Amino acid sequence: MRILLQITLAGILAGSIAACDTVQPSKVGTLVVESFLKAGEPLPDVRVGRTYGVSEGIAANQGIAEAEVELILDGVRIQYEPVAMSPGLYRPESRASHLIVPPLASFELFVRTPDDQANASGSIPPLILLDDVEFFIPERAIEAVLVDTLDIGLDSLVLALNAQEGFIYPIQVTLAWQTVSGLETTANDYWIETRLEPLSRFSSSLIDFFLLPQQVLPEESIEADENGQVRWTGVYAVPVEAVDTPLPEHALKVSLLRGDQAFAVFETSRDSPERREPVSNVSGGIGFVGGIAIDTLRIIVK
Amino acid sequence: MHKRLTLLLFTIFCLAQGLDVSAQSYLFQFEDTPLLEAVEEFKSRTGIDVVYSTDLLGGFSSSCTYHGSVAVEAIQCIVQDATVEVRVISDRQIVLVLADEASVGPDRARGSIAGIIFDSRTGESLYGANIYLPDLSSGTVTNEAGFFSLPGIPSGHHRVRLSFIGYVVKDTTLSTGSKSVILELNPTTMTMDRVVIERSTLIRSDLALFPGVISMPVRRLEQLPPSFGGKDVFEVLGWMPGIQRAGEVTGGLLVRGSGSDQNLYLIDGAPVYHPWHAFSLISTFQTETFKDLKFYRGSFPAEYGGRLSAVLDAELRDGRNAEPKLLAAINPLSARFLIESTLGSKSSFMLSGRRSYIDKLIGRKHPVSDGAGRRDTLRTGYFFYDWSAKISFSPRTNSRLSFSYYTGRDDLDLRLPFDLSLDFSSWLRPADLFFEVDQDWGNRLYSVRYQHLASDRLFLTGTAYYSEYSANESALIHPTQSASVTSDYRVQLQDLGARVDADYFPSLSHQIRAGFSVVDHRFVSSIDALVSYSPSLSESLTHRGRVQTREFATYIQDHWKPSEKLHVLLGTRLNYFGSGNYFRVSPRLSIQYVLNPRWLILRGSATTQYQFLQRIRDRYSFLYDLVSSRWIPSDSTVVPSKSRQLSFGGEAIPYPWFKVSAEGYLRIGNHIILPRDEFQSKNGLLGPGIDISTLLGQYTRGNERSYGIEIGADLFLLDWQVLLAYTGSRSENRTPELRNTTFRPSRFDVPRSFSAVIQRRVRRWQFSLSTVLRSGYPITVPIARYYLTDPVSNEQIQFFHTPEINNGRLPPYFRMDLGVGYRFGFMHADWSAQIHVYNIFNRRNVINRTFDPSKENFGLNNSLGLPILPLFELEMQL
Repeated sequence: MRILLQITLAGILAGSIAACDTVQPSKVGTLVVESFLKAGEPLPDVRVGRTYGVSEGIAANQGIAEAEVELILDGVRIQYEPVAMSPGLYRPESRASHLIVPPLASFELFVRTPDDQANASGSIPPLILLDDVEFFIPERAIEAVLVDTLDIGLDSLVLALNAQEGFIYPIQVTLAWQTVSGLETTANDYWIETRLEPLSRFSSSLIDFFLLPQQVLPEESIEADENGQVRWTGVYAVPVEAVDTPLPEHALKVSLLRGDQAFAVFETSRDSPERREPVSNVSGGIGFVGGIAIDTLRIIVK
Repeated sequence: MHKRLTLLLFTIFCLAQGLDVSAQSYLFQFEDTPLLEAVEEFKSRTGIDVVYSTDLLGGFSSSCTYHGSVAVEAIQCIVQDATVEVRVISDRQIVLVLADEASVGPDRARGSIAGIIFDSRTGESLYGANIYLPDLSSGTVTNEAGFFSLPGIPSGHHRVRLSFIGYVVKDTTLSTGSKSVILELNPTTMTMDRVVIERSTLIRSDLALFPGVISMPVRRLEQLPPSFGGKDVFEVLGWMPGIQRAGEVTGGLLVRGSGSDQNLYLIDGAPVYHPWHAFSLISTFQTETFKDLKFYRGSFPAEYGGRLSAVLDAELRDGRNAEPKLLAAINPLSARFLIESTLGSKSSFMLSGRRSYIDKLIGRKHPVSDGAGRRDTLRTGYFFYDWSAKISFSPRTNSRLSFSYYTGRDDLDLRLPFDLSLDFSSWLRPADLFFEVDQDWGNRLYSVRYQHLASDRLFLTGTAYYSEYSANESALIHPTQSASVTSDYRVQLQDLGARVDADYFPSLSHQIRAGFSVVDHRFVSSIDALVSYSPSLSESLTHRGRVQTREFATYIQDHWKPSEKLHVLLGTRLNYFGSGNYFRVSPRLSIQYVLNPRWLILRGSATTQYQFLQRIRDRYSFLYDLVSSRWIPSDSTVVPSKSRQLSFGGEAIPYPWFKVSAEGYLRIGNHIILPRDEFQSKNGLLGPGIDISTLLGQYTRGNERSYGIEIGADLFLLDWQVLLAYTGSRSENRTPELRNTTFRPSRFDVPRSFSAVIQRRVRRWQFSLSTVLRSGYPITVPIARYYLTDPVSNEQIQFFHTPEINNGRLPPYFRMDLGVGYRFGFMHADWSAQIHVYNIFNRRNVINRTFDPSKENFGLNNSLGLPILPLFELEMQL
């Protein structure tokens, strides 16, 4: 009987030990690779670095100066060289500096350091051009909830009530561009990102749900007219003091980006840095290396 | 033995002395007179006290004529046809006892004894009571209906010992061949007086045969400290090893590291899909409305299926009370009542209700107006309620028909301006910018159950039920004069089911249970939502979904008792699920071996379970799946989840008032639905939609494993009641389809957990101290930083690097609660006043933690748990 009890006690002890938290401490210093190959533009720089400590600022970033960087663009091998005084930054070798990133080209990027290596691949989307930008501006400002921190949680008994009301001009902007056409590719292959970025940004956790300053969507989901033109409409807001305050003159950057699905996933996953990190397409490291097409306009709205 | 010998010697001495216990002359003439009646007449005419057991003489008659002056001879004449022995204690007392077994004769035909055992106070049938034949060293346990059968025993009279935890042990005599007998057990006094557990070795056979079973009498559960909403079954279960709540005071029950959707909750055989009120603050299972509760952790018998982790099988009270009972109580959250009574000699009913009342205090509708003559009606309504009712009808002693009804619902109705403040007068006015939230969710079920003792070896139970879960979530939000959102989301799950269970007792060593069930599942969902960004720009979402499928199951199991020490429960369950045409076989094996009835009872089990319904929730939109549970059936793309579990444990009861147990388990789960993107949380309005395939796109299949050891101690002595539980466990999962091939801690992995409840009664006072100390829940902690550059603005944005999910842990959770109760009589009623102080040390536990890479260091932000909260409850019983 005593033996049985001893066995039982030993089992209990073993089970208790088995319950120990086995979470392992994690390492720092993961390889970070970043580059955007923009259609119709010169070959981009490639940034190669490592992650740094969680308690350190961006100044702690240390680029890797001794990496080997190679880009294969439509079968052409292009060596990258480190940029002097900018550790971690790499530029195409001089004989390739005149090259332009061709639309629809495929690419592969290889990065080798003494400790690890990474690679990424993709394709370059067709060029994109903003055909038209239309504005709809209300005559008067409207009442809106500017600040809200309503947060109710039973577990934490949080009831924050600091809402403030004010006035905004919700400005509706319509962008137009030509959709993808041609034998080599279709709109099914691409995603569009639209951006309306006023110079002075306005944000409210509630109102943001009712503004549409930015969107990432499959290009095929936007219906084209008979001329192959597609339109997207978004809304951004400009706060003002009173209902009769005229719309202040302000600068607006309008951007239209085209990329593949990896780009869409990357862009939609990097909008909440406090919640998550972006989804990477780099094997052997993190970061993003992708082909995109961009058209940007800076507009003064008054 | 000593006492009996003394009595025998005394009797012999008296007889040897020719003692005539009466010098009077008697004339008794009985012809086929009930023996009980004849003995009572003897008592009244001779003035001699005759002590006997009613069961001993019941069923016999007397045919006797005696004329003489010797009372002993008279009583011997009267009882001559019964198997009793007359023993003279004194000249004023005679005792009738069962004649020696030997006198009955060893070579008799075989017969059986069957019957039902009730609680003498409440009239409720007792599940799990022991019936033991000391002379045969054999016995059995009553089933859910309180029924038992002892087949294949020698014909004649048998000494029988009845016992059950919390009841006084009863010795009686039963005869084979008679109709089913009705027996009663008297509960020990548990309210104001001292608690005494009768010392009885039979108490061990009260214990379940399966590892992980919690089958505690409701009367015992009622003694444990109350929670926010009064006496709550789920709160009490949280004190048991291996069981915890997901949140601090909210969230589902997590059993052995499983998800809360892997538990099956049954009320009178009908499933309850969302057993929660007040955003999971309290459960729909009020302890006092149930007569029996069984909770299976991991290993459950073949009659249950469809869930991987645990089963709570609760049976509403019968209302078979000898006297009408009324209970009423009030606490800060709700008021409740329960009434039960008999309706004539064959029927009874129970009715209970509970409702929150805060909406009654602050009002639900607030008409407001302003100086400009604008009028509006603001709304601040929230309430929940439960209704439980049961009517039982017993046309004969061998059958019972019961009808059960339960409905419970939450209703949230708000129309408020955004600029709320604690100053009511500032926002009780018409507003242009406001929000409306109208949400209600709840369960409703009907169950009809017929129980019939077809023979002394066959007991049948038929159950038909309808169970419905529905939730509506509507919203109207006007944050600006030109933008708004309206949405109406509805989800409903209806089950129409029937099942038949049969208990067959071929011999003392075998008890076979078999049955089949069929359930028709219907899933309905719809959404209509419109988001207006501006007068000319809007987006809408409309969808209707309807799925119907059937589930069939049949099972058979044998409770085999090769010896008194060894019990084997072997069973299998065959499932068929219509959607996806899935056939699944779930074998079960449980073994109990009594190595030493006092020091070690060993138990082990191996089971396989399948789950055909999964609960998922949209992870993008704030407009739906906020409060509702969304159940979806398996289909060709969603393979039923599977779980295999091994359990092994031991239990010792060194003293009748002290029990200690330890149990280890290993559970492996496959095809578990896990989030595809752990970092995704609701962050928008419309989301991807409610189509099942769309929702499933947010999830992936994964594996889970959990293992651990659970140690429990239960002390129940005199004024003291102590419940201790320690759980050391790990719960992990992985998603191979996403190339995550190594196991990582699951969302609610708790390596160590300790809880204790200590109660003491001093006269009318009851003091309780309860505490929980456990590891903090896992969280994902960043291990590094990096930055990326925006392709348009070239802005450098910092991110945290979080390659491992749940690689860290919140600080340990600790809380201690204090309770003081006082019982008193007032206005012919029993009253109980309780003060419960939640978190007496006011320790603000960290219940969540976030990190912000845009800030220095971690940008760490802690969410804290509840502070100290005094709560009260007043209860009255008539």
